[in-house]
Amino acid sequence: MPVYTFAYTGISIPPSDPFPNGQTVYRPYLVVQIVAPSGQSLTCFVCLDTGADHCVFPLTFATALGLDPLQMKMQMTGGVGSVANATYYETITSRIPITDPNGNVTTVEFQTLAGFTAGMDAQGIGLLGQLGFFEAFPVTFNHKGKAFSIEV
Amino acid sequence: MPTLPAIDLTELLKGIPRGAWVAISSGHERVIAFGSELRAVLEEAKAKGERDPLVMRVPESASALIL
Repeated sequence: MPVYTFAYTGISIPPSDPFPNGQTVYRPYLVVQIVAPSGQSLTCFVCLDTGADHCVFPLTFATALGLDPLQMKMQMTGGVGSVANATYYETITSRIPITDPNGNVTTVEFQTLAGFTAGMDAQGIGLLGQLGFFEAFPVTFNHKGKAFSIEV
Repeated sequence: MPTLPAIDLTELLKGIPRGAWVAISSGHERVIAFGSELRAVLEEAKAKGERDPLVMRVPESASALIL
C-alpha cells in the first residue's frame, strides 16, 4: 500500500496575552474535492481531526453543492464552545488529489455520510474525522517532523 | 516518497480581508476572487475561467483553533 507524506501547513498567529511573541501553529491540512450525489463539486481545505467523530464542512458548502438543508437529515452535534450545532447530513464523495514530485497525480477517493454545519462557516474549512476517513486510512502524525502520512 | 509540500497560505492570502471567502487558482499559485459571499466568489472565479477553484475563508480572527 503506498504511503504519502504531506507537510503540515504553518499558520502565523498574532501575539496574545498567553503568547506575547505570537505563534506559528502547524495543522495537518489537505486539499479535497467534495462531490454531492448530483455531481456538483467543491474543492476546499480540510484539517485531519482525530477528535471529530464525523467529517464535517461549513453549511455554506452544502448550498454551493446544490444541497438543501431542509431536505437533509439533521442531528445536533457538539464541539468546544457549543453543544448545539444543527448539523445536516448527506452522503458525499471526497477525492484527495495527490501530485508526486514527478507531476503524476493519484486520486484517493472515499464516500461517507458527512455533516454540514454553520458552526464551521467561520473557519471555512472541513474536518476529516473518524467516520469515513480514519476508519479507512491509516494515518501517522509526526508533529516534530512537521509531516503526516496517509497509507492508501 | 519525499514529503509533499504545503500551500503557503501566509503569502497567498496577503492583503485579503479577514472574513472573506477566497477562490484560489487550481494550481494554488494565486487568488482569483474574494468577497463576503461564497456564491459570488465562485461565480467570479468561473467567469475568469477557473472552473474548479480551491475555496477557503480567511478567519475573522487569527486565533488558535480548538475544534
